Amino acid sequence: MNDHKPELICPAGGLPALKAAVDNGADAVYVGFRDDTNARNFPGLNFGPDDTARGIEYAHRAGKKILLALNTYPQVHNWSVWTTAVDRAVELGIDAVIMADPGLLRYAASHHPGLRLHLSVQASATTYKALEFYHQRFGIRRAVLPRVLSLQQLWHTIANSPVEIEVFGYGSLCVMVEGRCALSSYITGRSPNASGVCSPAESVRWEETALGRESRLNGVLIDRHGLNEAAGYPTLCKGRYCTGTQPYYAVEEPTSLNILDILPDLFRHGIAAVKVEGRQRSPAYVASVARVLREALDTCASDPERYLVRSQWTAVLDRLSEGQTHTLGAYHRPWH
Amino acid sequence: MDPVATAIFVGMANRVLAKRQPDLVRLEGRRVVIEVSDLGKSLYWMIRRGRIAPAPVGAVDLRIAGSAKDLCRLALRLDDPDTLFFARRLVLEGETSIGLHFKNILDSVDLDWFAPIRYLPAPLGPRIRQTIDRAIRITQADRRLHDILDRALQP
Ligand code: SF4
Repeated sequence: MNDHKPELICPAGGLPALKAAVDNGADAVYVGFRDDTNARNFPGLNFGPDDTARGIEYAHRAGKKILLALNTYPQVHNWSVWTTAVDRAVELGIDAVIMADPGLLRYAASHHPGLRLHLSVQASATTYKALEFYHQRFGIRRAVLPRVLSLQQLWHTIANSPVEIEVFGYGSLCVMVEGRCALSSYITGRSPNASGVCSPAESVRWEETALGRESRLNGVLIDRHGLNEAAGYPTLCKGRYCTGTQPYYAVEEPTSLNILDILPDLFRHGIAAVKVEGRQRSPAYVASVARVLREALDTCASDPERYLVRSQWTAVLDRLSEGQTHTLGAYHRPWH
Repeated sequence: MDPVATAIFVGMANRVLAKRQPDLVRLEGRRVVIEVSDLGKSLYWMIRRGRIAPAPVGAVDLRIAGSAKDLCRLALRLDDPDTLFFARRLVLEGETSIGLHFKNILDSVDLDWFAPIRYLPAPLGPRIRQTIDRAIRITQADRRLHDILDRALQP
């Protein structure tokens, strides 16, 4: 396993965000095409053919990489949309594709043996045995792990993994075993794996009332925020529900993951890359997060023993976070 | 809001969004109001034939509200809308998808401050452009300008 400085992987939903990522210290930027082949299929977001070519040129000129997320699951009737996207990625000179569907992985491995494959978080592979399978069958070179493992589980997986490991370092949390969430389908009929979106904007309604901001998903009230209470994304998992008398965050609170506290441990265990969530966010977010994480990674690399999280890093990141707070998520859970 | 301010907003928005007409067409006919809450002003506009056009005061499909400072911070890309929204400094009511769509269109616009240089006689244009590009990179003028604006518009 590699024990050098992990790569910083930043999101971009458009060309300005891509440039912001490259200019502020990302080693690689991940993007998606403007269709349902990726898990951020939002109106007006993502890259058309022109933008993709320009983005790749911009990144390559700076010595950075572009990764393409093709991480949703094609269905029988639209299979060719996904395979065409893989072919296009190769033509454009994308450095790696991030995929989840085994059929698509097989297509890429057999038609484009030179293409570098990363296993998407949507594939939900949480054990090294699963990674061995994807490695043997499709020759994946890296896997992005879901945000549900405790640190012990993570170290165990890295130690036994046949491929490089990438973990989420900062951004909104998806608390389910990614790729297996059926919560959203229950209320909106859509899910990240099939439609590339879990709370489609057309199902979301906010209303400012005398009691505060009410968030509705497909007509169902999922939360009400008091006057100055920080809010998050309108996903079903981050709503407040009554299971007893008082409504509370029964599944997950609106908060963002932040791994700055455990960076030296991640270095020590040989993590290959740290990923920032948020292709749906604007260039201002990408620039700020990239700047902070770049500084943190460089600081940690130069002297891991003396590394300390600077308070201004946390301040910058918390300001951008859901609920304006952060968590270590499952990493700090005691389960094994 | 007075007609002059509206005209300035409409003119600038159309300039910035000139290349995004095909995307805007998908929002044809939708009406939006932007309320500058601390100034008590409202700006009504709509999408007509793929362009931004002033709209009469009345019913809208989407309402956006925020302070003058915060709306400026958004326009200058000093903040992203999600951040302000989480902090309760931005209000979005009505058809959320219009807001999201519009935000994504805006975010995809590659602001090119040097567009006018392109009209210089070739081969002068590209060379001057390259020089300016390099100068900006070396002096980090863009980042400095960003930081100055950021400080000036601190909430
Ligand atoms: S509802 Fe929550 S857990 Fe499920 S996919 Fe959406 S963000 Fe993830």
